[in-house]
Amino acid sequence: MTTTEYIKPGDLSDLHHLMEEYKGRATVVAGGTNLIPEMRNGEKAPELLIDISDMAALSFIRENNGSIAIGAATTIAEMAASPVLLDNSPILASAAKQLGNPLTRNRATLGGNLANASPCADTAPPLLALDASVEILSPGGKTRQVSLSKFFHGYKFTDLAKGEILTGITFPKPNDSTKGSHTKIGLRNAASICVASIAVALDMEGKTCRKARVAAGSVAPIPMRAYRVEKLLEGKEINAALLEECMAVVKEEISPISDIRGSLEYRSYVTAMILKRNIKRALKQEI
Amino acid sequence: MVNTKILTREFDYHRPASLAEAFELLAEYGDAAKVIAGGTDVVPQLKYEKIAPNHLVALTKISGLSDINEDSDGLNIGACARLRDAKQACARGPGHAALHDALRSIGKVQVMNMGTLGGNLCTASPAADSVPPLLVLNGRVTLANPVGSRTLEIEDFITGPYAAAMAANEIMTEIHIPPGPEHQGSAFLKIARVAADISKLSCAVALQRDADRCVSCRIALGAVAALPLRIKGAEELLGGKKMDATLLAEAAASVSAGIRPISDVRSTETYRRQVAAVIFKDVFDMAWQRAGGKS
Amino acid sequence: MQKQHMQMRINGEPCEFWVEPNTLLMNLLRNEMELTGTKYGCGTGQCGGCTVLVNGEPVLSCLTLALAVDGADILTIEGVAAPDGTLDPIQEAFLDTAAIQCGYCTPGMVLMAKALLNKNPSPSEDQIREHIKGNLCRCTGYHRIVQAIKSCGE
Repeated sequence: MTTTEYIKPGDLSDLHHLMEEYKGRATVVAGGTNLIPEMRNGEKAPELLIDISDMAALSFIRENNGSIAIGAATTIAEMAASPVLLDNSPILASAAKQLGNPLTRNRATLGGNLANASPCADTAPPLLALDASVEILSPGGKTRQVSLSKFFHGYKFTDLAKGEILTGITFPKPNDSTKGSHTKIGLRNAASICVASIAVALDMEGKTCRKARVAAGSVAPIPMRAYRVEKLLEGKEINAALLEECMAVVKEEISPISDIRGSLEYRSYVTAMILKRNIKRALKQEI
Repeated sequence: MVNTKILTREFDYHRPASLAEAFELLAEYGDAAKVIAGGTDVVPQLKYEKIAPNHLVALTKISGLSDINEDSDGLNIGACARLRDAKQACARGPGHAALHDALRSIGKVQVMNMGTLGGNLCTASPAADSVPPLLVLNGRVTLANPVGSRTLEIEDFITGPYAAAMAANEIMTEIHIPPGPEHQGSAFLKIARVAADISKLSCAVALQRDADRCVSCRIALGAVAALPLRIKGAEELLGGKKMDATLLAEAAASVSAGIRPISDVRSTETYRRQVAAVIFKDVFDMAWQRAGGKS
Repeated sequence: MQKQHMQMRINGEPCEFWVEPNTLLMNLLRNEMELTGTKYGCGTGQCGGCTVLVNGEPVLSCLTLALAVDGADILTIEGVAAPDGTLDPIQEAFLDTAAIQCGYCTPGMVLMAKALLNKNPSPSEDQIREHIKGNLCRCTGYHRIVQAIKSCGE
């Protein structure tokens, strides 16, 4: 590792000053669970690290006015154990619980997982299914919001401009008629980069689906929404035949690759399989 | 990308109830069809992308193809008889000992339950364990076609590595092993890395014995050439002679010289050549003892 | 590729499916039925980790087309213990003898043992070793697995 300067801002005004002073030259780090390995293998050599891991202002999970907000410096472990998330958005808690291992989860943060923007980012599919928006802090103290579905532009390439910092996410608190389910497929039960994942959130009126959100991870350059599957489900009564159609359509929407963790064909096969499984589980019934 | 977890090849699956129906399917689909019985060779071939059929024609519902019977003419094993049933049938007669040894050695229970003798022959691997015994026991195969059938000696059936003298519209129905002469003994041994494995090399011997004289002898080895082969030089050396250690050693040297092994993932040319001589002697001794008396 | 209808009993339960012809029994069990006790080890029939019993006989589910077992009775490791959770004596023997390390070969080994003991209630050590030779274990060296199965003999 090369020599790097390191600063730890105390509060948000410190952070604003630093952002003004260093504009895009600094690398923001929280848990470091992606950055440190990249620095060790020479992929990245930041001149200056701004460490936001200890900022109380960015570390929270709260419910207010019908929406849930999570600060960027909130650790994955906190998310996995949060009563707010377990009660309101268990699919997000489920994804958090399956990220890495307990040690990683104690340091890794929501902001890091999203800003790193790996196609395999574990928290992204549930957040996409929850219609989450990203909160961004720009130099000069301005803030802006971007829908997560518009945040990922390409492989590890986000809407963050140079010098901007992801400060948190918000999503509307799901109501009682929303049913969700999430599955992550990996090579192991822990410490496993995702091979394929599906998160669904279905707003049901009896047997009819009023609104569908279906998101997939690790099967495209970005964490993605399966818009065609959603359209297929919305307004319909969900039955076995519709599920078979959804399975066929999701295979067309995703664009998996073959790599050391699995083949394109297997990813395609298993994504369709867990889509069906998750819709059935969300509805808690045999269709 | 080669996939061993799922089958990526798409195909239609047919289970004809009769040979006639099977022939119709083969005629309709021609080169796009592949016959399957137990699947222990065909499924790996699909996984490794060695074959790319659009239609699989399963023979497992055709009655009669798995029958096994024995009469004065010999032992008849249906081509779709499971290896475990074929093995049991060979246990009965001393005349089939070499084939029994070979089927025991193929070994793993699951493959014995799934695989068929016909499949083992039609795949025609140079290392196929059932072939050397059938070569020394004068085995014949019956191939049915839409209008009749024909019979071939095993020697004429296997023509090269994974190559058999079988037309696309033929289906193997039966393997026949004649009863063999009196005072016959036969045996088979294979060398492999672990207990359930493809052979590095294998050897089968069938001989007819008169006191201390070897009346006649047939020797075949597997996995040491492009196809399992008989070593006629060594056979002639021993035929009609009084057996002793020197003659046996000469024959072993002739076996070693008569094979054409290669080096591959399982073994080297040198090892195969050296060990062929060793296991030939072991197999000959076993066959000799089984033919009645001490070596 | 035309889907075909099939039915079978899995661990005593009647099931029916519409499957694509290229569906392997192993994947039907693991993915459709979520019975993940049957393991994918090599996918080529060499390790035995995918062993299930079809009509009481051990087969390699990674090399078996689902359609090929239409009408059959399938037993997976999940069906070995009693419905109330009481372990089979074979499973108890594996625990008592500490015949499990990583556990990956264990479902296959237990099913092989079940099939063997159903045919031969008192197998010798040689018979046991011969019987399980198609199931690879990378951890235990087989000794305790053989002991466990032997201890189940009458």
